[in-house]
Amino acid sequence: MAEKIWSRPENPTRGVASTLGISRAQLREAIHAIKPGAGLQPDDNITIWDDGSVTDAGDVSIGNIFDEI
Amino acid sequence: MKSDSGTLSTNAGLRFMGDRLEPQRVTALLGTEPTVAYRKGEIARPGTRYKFRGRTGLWWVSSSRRVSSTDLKDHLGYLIGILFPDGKPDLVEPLRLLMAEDGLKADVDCFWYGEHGAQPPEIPDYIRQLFARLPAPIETDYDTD
Repeated sequence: MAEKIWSRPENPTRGVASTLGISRAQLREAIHAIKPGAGLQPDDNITIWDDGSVTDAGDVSIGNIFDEI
Repeated sequence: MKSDSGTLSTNAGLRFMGDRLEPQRVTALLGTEPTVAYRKGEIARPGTRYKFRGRTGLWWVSSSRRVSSTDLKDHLGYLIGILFPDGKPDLVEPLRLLMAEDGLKADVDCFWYGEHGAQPPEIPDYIRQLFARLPAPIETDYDTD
C-alpha cells in the first residue's frame, strides 16, 4: 500500500523528489503537468504518494508523477 | 536543458473550463489538438491508469513537449500563435463569443523552474494584454532549486 510522502500547501521539497528517485525539477514539472489538466490552480493542495500517484483535496487520483517524466 | 539565464524547465498552457464546455467546439475553433480535454462528468484521462470524472468541462493545451525552448516567452508565443494564426483573422472575438455562449472561463498557466539564485522571467505587458482580451488571466508557478 502506498504511503503519503507530501501533503502540505507549500511546494514539495528536494526530499520528496529524492524519495521518488527524481530531481526536484522533474518533480515540479510533473506536478505542473498534472494540475492544470485536473482543473486545479498552481496553489491548490495535492497529496503525493511514494508510488508517484497524486491525489487532490478530495482524495481523487488525478495522475502519477512517473507518467509525466 | 539549462539556459544562460539558469532556467531548467519552463512551459505555458491555455485552458478553458466550464460546465457546458464541448471540447470539439474549442478544438474546431482553435484548430489545435488539446493536451487534455473532457466534458463535465466524463472520464478525464481515458487510456491511463488514473481515471477521474471531470468536475467541470476542460480544454487545455500545453506547450510542454511542443516547444523545446528554455525561454518562457517562446512558450507563450506558441499559445499566441494559436489565437493569432498566421495569415488568418485572429480568434479572439470568436472565442469570446464561444466563452459567452457556453459560460467558459479561460486562464493561462506559466511554469518556470530555475537553478538556485536564478531570476524568474518577467512576462511582457503586451503578452498580458493579448490574453486579457479573452480575458485569460495569467497564473505563474515559479520555483528554483
